[in-house]
Amino acid sequence: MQTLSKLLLGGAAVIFLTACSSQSSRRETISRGKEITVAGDVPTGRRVQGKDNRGGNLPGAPAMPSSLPSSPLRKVTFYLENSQSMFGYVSGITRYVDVVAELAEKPDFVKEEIPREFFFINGTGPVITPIGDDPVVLKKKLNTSGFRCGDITRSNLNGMFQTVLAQAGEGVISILISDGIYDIGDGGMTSLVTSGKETRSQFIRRLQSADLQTLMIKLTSEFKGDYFYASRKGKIALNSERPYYIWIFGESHLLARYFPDSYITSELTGYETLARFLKPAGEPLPWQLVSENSLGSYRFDHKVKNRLVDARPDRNGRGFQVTLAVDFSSLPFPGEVYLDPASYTCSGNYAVAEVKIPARKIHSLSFTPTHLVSVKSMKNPACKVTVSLVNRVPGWIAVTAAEDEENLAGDTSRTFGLGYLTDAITQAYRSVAGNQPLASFDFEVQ
Amino acid sequence: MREFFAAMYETLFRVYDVSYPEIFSTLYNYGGYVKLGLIFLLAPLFFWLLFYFLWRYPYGRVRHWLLWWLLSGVVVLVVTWLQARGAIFDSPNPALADALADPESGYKAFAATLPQRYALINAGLSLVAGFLYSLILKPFSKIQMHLPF
Repeated sequence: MQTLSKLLLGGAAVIFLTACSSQSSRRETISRGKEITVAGDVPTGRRVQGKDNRGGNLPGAPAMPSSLPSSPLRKVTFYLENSQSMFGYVSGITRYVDVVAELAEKPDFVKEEIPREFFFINGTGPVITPIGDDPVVLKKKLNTSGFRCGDITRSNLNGMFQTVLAQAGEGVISILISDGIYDIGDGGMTSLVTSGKETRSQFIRRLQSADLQTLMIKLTSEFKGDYFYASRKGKIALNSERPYYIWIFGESHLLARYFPDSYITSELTGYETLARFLKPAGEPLPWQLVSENSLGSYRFDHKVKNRLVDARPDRNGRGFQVTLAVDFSSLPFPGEVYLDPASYTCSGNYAVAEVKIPARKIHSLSFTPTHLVSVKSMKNPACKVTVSLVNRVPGWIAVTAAEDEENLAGDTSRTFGLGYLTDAITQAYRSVAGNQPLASFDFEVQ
Repeated sequence: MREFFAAMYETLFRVYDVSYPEIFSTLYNYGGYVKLGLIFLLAPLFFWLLFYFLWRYPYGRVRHWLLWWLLSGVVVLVVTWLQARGAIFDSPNPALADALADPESGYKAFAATLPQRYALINAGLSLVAGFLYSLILKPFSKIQMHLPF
């Protein structure tokens, strides 16, 4: 028994030493962990850097490489519609004048000595009247007498877009300021439809040769002057608020740099809302399934990233819910776009139930998520799921579009025919993008 | 082996909690599950090899066998507790260390109970394994072939 006791104690000591060595050899374990990661032997953990298990870019990698600042800003061109219908915006010191002056002397442009060129644009040609490159000269022309040049009797929105779009790209930002009303003459609504199609073609042609983002800003200003009906002959004198629009075209990284939402909302007086149109870059955004805000039970698969196993619905009949932590910071859209469940589509039995901004740090992530997108299924949770962020037309556009030109005096926020214009832009971007979503996230539930 | 032990602890014994995935991915990725599994398999084997082949006392009783059996379970309990504690709290995974250091994450409170749970599971498994080892090794022993029965 004594021999056995000695052996027992010896054996126990060996086991204890083995256990303790695993703790004391921490440094050694760290280096082993690193080697394993590089060799790809343990790419199953969610901490593996560089590439995910599907070979996609992981957090840290830029989500939109096409948006990288490959070309610096070389020039900004301004086109101000100066048909007679715009005269009401420059009758006195108006918010329109203030905004144009602000854009012309944007501090960033001044600091970086970015060349600026200013043009008036009107007529059916259209007729382009150069103003020069001096903002002071432009500001002196922001009145009815200054606007009175070129062919003020007509305007051609499609011609304006063609001109402005042609200028944009390769380090050039091009800006068009207009009331956004098609001059359809006697053609009636049919002309409005065909004009919209023509606008779409202008955009498609330009987008095929350049990856341009379109930033459309709606603003209101005092308007004291004649409103010329677009759908029929005649005019009406107005002294009220009227909407007008700024379209800014350029590469995404330049628009993100020089026209962030914060600048637009705080510095452009009369700002109402905005929309951004862009081609999806096709690069994956940093994202990962997380346990926050989930329903039912499941496990994260250790081997395959973003695969859930042993998924079962909630015992109280509330269904099955999982959450995607996503970093949308590289996309340029306003925050409400990401928070709206209607901005997403889901495949399988799932639907987006809720989108939240993370309230606290999520430790299982190697990136900082901007949003938590929770998807829910009331049916069998096991399936492959694709959640997509789609480029929907902002709701304000439908509200702003007017189908007729009645009650103009009382209608201070709507624009005749705007829906055709914005539909054209949206359709053009969708067509060029091949109806791809802005971002999509695939995962599997087993 | 990693898959087997991970599935055993996480699914069969329901130790897994989806709210703290970093702990379980660390145990999986850094070999924690394999070590825990080997402890409950190898420790009792070692104990019963000693009992049947090195203990030369010819008048061994069932109570000796029983004491040895329980002792092996206690050793596995303590070793597993130490091993699990080290694998979690001295983890080389910086994300887990970060989570444990954040009191708002709840990781530390949850992780504090895990070594005990793994220790109890392993102790129970080692007793089962030990009993089986005993039955397997007994016929090959020249002295303790009559134990446990």
